[in-house]
Amino acid sequence: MGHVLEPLLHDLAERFRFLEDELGKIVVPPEAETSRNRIHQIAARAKQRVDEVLNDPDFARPEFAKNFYHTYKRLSELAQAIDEGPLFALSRFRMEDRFLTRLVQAACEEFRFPEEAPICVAMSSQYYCTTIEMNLILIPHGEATHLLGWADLYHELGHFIVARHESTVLKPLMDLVGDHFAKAIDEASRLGWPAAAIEELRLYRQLWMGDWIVEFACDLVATFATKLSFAWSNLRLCARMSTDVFSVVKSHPADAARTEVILQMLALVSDGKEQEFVEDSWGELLNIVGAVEPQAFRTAYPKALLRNLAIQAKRSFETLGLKPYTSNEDSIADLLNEAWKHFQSHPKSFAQWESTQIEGLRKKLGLGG
Amino acid sequence: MSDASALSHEYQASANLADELNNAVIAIKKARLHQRSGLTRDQRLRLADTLGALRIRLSNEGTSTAAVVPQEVVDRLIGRHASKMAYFLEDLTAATQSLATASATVSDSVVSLLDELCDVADQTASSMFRRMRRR
Repeated sequence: MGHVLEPLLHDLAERFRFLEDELGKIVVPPEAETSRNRIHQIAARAKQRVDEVLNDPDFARPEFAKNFYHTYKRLSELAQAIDEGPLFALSRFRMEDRFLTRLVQAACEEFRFPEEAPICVAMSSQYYCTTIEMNLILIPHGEATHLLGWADLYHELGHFIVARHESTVLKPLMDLVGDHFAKAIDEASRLGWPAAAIEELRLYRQLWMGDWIVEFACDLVATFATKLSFAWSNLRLCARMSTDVFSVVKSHPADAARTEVILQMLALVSDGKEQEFVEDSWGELLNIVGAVEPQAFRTAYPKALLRNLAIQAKRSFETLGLKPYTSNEDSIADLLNEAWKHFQSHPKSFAQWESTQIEGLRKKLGLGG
Repeated sequence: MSDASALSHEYQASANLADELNNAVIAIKKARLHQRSGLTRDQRLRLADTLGALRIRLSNEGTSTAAVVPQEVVDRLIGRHASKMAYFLEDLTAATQSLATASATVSDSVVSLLDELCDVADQTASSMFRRMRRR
């Protein structure tokens, strides 16, 4: 095994040497320097780890072969992730990316994001997305000049919070889900439900414990931090992209369930009128698309569970020290809420208003003139 | 908002678990081979906690540990051990107890179990990494 692995590790060492060299050479603007330096250090440490494995006296022993192979795989993935993510982004870091990164940094300060703010670049082909280990948010090119979707940045920031504070945020939510489905399965067995129906409950539990709970948690972060603007942004995204708002997809919870959890958080952090306004618009959208809630929907997404998730999430966010949105603070979240109000009252002239606001924000963030 | 963020989360969680288990197994194997001390008390307890969390997730009993185990790791272990899960849970309990006892030597069966968990965590991380790149 050592024979197969040795040249591969030398190849990997060369790859990290290249990455280290490139990251050391790149000159980036100040807002990206912390990120460049951090990734540079990660590449240097990884290179050191490869050398350690190559020099390990037990490297050629058969009982270690698989373990060193696993080490090789993780390090190879890291090299690829650095190359395709931050190195690619930082080597093409444009003025738009400087603006977005400053925007994200300002938003992070405002809601007391408990981590180093990630960099944000406008070069995504997959809507808003995050590479957690690389501290990177990618958004589509056009989003740098269109602010109605920016509340989704808070959802992406939620991915960092959920991944890095699992015991405070994710674990209590998973416990709620686990308890709910354990009881539901027990109850169903006691009542003699058909095996297929019980199996369905098990499937829902599995999906919740996988990607669903993470997506819900991120939606709750975004609603906590921005209130209405995330609710509107979600509604717009559902209108644009939903095929069936009640459908069960493995990677994401149903849009209707996500909307409901957002409304549950809104009920906790804002006044009832705001929540009603979103609820009415959501109802109107359901009518337009003719969506009807299927019977199984409540089995997968019980109302009480969604409410309890919102309550627990709010508690966890407060424990972490996150700041909920409060109006009239001249914050980014304020701008987003103003934008949605303006958009709803003056949709035709919104583009002009938006352009003026973004220009003002650029100046405020030190990039104007 | 896209699937990529959820996959990135799952990848990070499974890669961290794979690394944690793999580094622990390397340290244990080296200690046994060279007859020297392996994991520190804290490292043993952390590993025991991870195994305990895994056991809870596989048995769907209780919610007490702080460690979060990626769902795909759980699914893969269920796939491997579905027909003899009770035995596998017993093995996990024994390994957890052995690791939680600072003075206990780490037996062949515990190393073998940890090696299997390393495999599963590695497969999960690799699978997530590929799915993030849609290959």
